[in-house]
Formats: sequence, structure tokens, C-alpha cells
Amino acid sequence: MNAKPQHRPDARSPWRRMLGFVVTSGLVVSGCVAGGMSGAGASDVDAAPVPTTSPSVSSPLPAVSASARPVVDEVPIRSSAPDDQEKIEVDEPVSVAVPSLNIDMPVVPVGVEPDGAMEIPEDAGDAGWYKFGPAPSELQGNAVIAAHVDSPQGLGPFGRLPGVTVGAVVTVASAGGGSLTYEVTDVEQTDKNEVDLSAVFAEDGPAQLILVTCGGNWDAGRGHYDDNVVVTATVVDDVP
Amino acid sequence: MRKSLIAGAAAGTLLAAGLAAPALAVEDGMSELSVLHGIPDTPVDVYVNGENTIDDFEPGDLAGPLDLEPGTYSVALTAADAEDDSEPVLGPIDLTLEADMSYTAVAHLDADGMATANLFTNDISEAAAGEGRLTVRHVAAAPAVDIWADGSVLFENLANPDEMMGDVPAGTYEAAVSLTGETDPVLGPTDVDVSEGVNTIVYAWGSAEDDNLALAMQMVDIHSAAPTAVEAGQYGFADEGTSPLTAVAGALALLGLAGLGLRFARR
Repeated sequence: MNAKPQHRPDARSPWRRMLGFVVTSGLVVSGCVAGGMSGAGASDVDAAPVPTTSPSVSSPLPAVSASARPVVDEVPIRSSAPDDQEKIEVDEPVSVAVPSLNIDMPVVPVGVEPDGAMEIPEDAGDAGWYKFGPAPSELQGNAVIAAHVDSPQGLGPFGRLPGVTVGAVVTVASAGGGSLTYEVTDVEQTDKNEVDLSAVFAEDGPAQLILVTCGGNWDAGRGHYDDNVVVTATVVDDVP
Repeated sequence: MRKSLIAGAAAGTLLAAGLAAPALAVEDGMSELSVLHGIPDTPVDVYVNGENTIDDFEPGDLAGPLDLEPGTYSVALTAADAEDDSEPVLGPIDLTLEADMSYTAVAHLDADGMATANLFTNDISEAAAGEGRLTVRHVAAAPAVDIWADGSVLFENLANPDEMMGDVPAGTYEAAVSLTGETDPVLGPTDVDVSEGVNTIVYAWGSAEDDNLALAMQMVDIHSAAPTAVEAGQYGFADEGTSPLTAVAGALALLGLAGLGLRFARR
């Protein structure tokens, strides 16, 4: 998932460019007819597919003034048949390691709980990757991996997260066999009532890895900690 | 309460500040238009404001999305071999597109099998975390139908040219279409993936009489909210009142305050 809007950077006025193209192709066709093609040939030209890329593509059409204006992207057209829809496969993370904290944990994909909270693997020895957000392998936006800070046996590996230092190395391995290396850029402990989860889970922006667990005071009444510990790391290397 | 655990670092980059612009599903100030051809057996050219804009548009194909300036566009469909738009098979009709909206113009058959066109507005409002939107549109020459998902009726008595929609947990649903009140599918069952943050629009098009009913699918990016919380602790072992973390975090917080003080002093 996570198909991003396919906005071209130069998409400010595709309409104008599209109309421009129509005008241009009209000139091309006219020129071709004027060049003395037979009636049958002219109708072939009329039925010819619209050129998609550059005027340099071999074409029966004479290169008129098409180069005066950049050729326009064709209106994108695709089949709407259910069987023709592309499935987007994501190379999912399978483990996360912070060597300086002696953390090396399996990662499983997780979604949301019925109450809207991020699902967290029950075992504090497992970390959960938020599957509805970016994957590390997508190299865009925040890939969020969270784990319980504790389990019945005591603190889990993410209980050591608050001690991480800026510059510490974090690695993520993916199912496809790839590995990404990150460096910690920020460590914060924030009251859960104040933490901006839309920023934590940002789908756009630079490729970051966000490690989340809990901290602060234990609210036994709620059964939750007061704070989130949020570690931000940016990708530094892409080792295939 | 929040604090940076890094000495001197400016805490709060992840605080709710109300400054983060919401992700826009449509380019700011523009209109997004897609065009679906749902008239069987009839390739057409689509003329927009008098220009042949989609050449040889085949039934079942989806064009776009195009980012257009808001405004009113005149659209006409001609036979695919027409010289110009002087003899349209449909239209011209005026499509009025507003800014920051997403539309799908659908050329299709009405319930009686006559060619017609409709401009649908695609709901691009934010969905909840983990959810996608499922929209169904009846644009077929067929009676009203029920839409089934995973063996039960999800949308009831949908008639041409109406739509129904709802937000559902992201996942794959076995979808089918039956005539209203009946159980035998006239379309499907077929798997429909509803992705998080996507409005998955399913069209029933074609003609029951001509036995060419079909499903069409369109995916429109919307945006889903972030999870409402990350509750990542369950037993209190990391309680700062009882854990050695207290000292570490406290010391780091002090260092952070010292760093802040230094910065203020320099002003």
C-alpha cells in the first residue's frame, strides 16, 4: 500500500500542455497531408497512436515544429478491470538492531487496535513495524517500529532505548535480504497527551526510522506509562 | 511534560504544534479529474473544450487522474474515427470542477441502456488509521443491486446512477453483486483489495440484457490518520519512580536544561 499521489513536479498546468500538444499534433497531421500522402495514408495518420515521448522516436510523421514545445505527457490511461490492478509489494522489515544497546530483535508487521492505537507485539522481545506506514525499504517518510518496554519477565530490549546516544548506529534488515543503516539523530521522551503522532507517522519527507516505546511514570490505574520514548534515526547507508 | 533525552538538544520536534500541514490528496488549489469509459463496445474520442483529448478511448479504460485548474469544461464524446466534435455521440456536457476536489467523469449506460454521463465526486476526506474507503457505483444497464462483502450484504439496493460508500478496515474482501433481495451473484465474487489511505471505487458497468456486465476499479489516494496512541508498556517495570532509568533520564534532562540555558544566555 502507500501508493503516493503521483504528482509530477511539473504538473502545475498539465491541462495547458495537454491542449498545446493537441494543437501540435494537429499541425503534424496537417503537414503530413500537405506532404502529398494518399487519402488512405492520411486516414492511417489520423488513426495513429499519439506519440508518447519525444519527437525523436521513429515515426512516419515529419518532424514539424514539434520541438518548439516540449512534448506533453499523454493522458495516462489504464485498464479498470479488477484483474489488471497492480498489487504493490513492500519489502518488509524483519529485524532491527542497535548494537550499542545490545538490541537485536525480530520485527513483525502490525496494524491498529480496535481503539485506534498502534498494535504492539505482546512479547517485549518482538518489535512491530506499522504496516500502514512507510517501510524502511521505501526510503521515504517515517518507518515506525515499536515494542513494549516491558513484559512479565521485566524490561524488554526497548527498555534500553532512552540510553541511546546521538550518532548510534541502527540497522534494519528486510525480508528481501537488504539491510539499511541509520544513525540516531534525536531521542525524546514526551507525554503521550502531547506527542504529535501525525509527525511520528509522517508518510512523506526524508527516510527516517522511528523507534517508539514507553517511559515515564507508570500509571497503574490506566495500565499505561505516561510518556512515549521516541528515537529518530536517519538513513546513512543502503547496503543491498 | 516532555524533555529531550539528548543534552542540549531542542526538544519538541515531535510535539503537537498544529503546524504540520495535513497531507493533501489533491494538489493544492487544483482539481483532480479521472474519466472512466463504461459504455460497452464503443471506442470513443473525448473532446474537452473542443480538443480531442483522449483518442481512441476504449470501454473499461480509466484515464487520469489529471490535475486541472478549477473551472468549467465542456466535454463531448464522438465516435473514435470522427474528424471533430461536431457530431457527438454524447454531450457536450459541462463539468464544473472545484478546487481541492477529486472527480471521476463516467460515460456509461443508464438503467434503460441509453448512453449517459455522470460526474461523481470522490470522497477524499481523511480515513481513520488502518482503514480505507470502499465506494460502489452503479453505472450499468441493470436493475438495483445489493453489494456483498465476505458473504454478507454491505450495501443494499443500489440503483443506477447512485453510489454508496463506507470506511472499512484495510484488507481483501470477497465482493459480489446480486440483484436486490437475491443471493445469486450477477457479478463476482471477486477479490477487492481495500488499502489503507485509499478510496477504492468499484463500478458495476455494462448491460445485463447484453450479458456484458463487468466490474471496474479505481483507486484514489486519500489519507488515513496516524494511530491514536502508541501504548508500548504493560507492567510498570520501566516506571521512572522505581527504575534506574530515573537517574539517567534525570541527568540527561538536567544537561538538556543546561544547554537551553546556554542558548538563552547567548541571546
